[in-house]
Amino acid sequence: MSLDGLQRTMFARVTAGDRALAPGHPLDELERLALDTDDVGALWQLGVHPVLLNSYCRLIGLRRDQYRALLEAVAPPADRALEVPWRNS
Amino acid sequence: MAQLVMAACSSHAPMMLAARDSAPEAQRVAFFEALARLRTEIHTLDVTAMVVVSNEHFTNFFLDNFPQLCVGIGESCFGPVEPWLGVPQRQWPGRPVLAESLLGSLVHGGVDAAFSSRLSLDHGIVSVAAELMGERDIPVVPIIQNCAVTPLSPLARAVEVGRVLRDAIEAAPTDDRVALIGAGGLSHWVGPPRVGDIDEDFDRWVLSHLASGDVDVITALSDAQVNEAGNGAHEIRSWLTVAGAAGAGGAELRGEVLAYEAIHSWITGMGVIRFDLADQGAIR
Repeated sequence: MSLDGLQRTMFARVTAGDRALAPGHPLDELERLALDTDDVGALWQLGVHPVLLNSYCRLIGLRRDQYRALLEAVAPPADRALEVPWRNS
Repeated sequence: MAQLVMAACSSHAPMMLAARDSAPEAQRVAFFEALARLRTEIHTLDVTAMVVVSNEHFTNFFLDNFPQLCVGIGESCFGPVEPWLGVPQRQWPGRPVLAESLLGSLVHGGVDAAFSSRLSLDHGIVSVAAELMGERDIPVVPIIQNCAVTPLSPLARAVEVGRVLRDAIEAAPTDDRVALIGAGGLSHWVGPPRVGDIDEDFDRWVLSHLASGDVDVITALSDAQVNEAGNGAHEIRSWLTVAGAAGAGGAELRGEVLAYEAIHSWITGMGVIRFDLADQGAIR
């Protein structure tokens, strides 16, 4: 795995505003495939930082409802289990 | 010496400018009227510099070099980096003498802030600053916080940074009349599957405790608890820093919530608060 290379590649593309910018870092097969196919769910599962993923989705033209659906397909929101004071007040 | 004449916070969201009209009219009007009130006060108070505390969105820093806090000391900052934001891209004038003084006072006061002479501004600062300035071009000193990448600085430290920042502002060798602005939060999810959700209960709880000065209740939250209101909710650090400054030196912290709207089309709980600095002269 080369999460660092994957994220650097995505960051470079976002910064340049160029979704086709060639990867400047080594990627493994899964990472390259996820980028080549705009597989947002796979990028999430590979561990891409969510703030970076958000920017990348904007770069590749996905609307929020589109990428939410893609993410929910691979990572359904967890049940709320943690106690927080604002829900008890 | 410089003087702190305003301490206020606002949520930011790129869509508040880029898709302003996507919000229901009543919500949009309520939110922007609150910012307009602050804008009027900024003009009335003859503010000469805005110190804006906001979070990093991988605009200036990436995972290879990511400070917890960075003071912009440059002559100017380019922004917004988002050409689609709806604000003309330009150089925003800085206030280097004030900024370098703040930086020095922060470091000597125990806050190991990084600094940069070449920060860029994104929606985090621009969306709020542009609304607060109106037609005036007020110099901006940006202070960038890490609110996104673990390990996150503890919430209580954000308050402490504010306390030191208040002293730093009032020790600065300029005659600036400073507005300290926090820009970020409230609840929202940036990137995770829950993107688009808003935790209105969290937002109102935070605003209520800020308004009544019960900051310790907020800083008692763990990062995991804050995360229940979204990864973007960690941006309340900027609000806590401004609260720390407003309540520094034994001053009673009180705030007025000027607006709160859960605006789903902007994916964010949009709040505005102004802290009361009146009658603090005798205390400080």
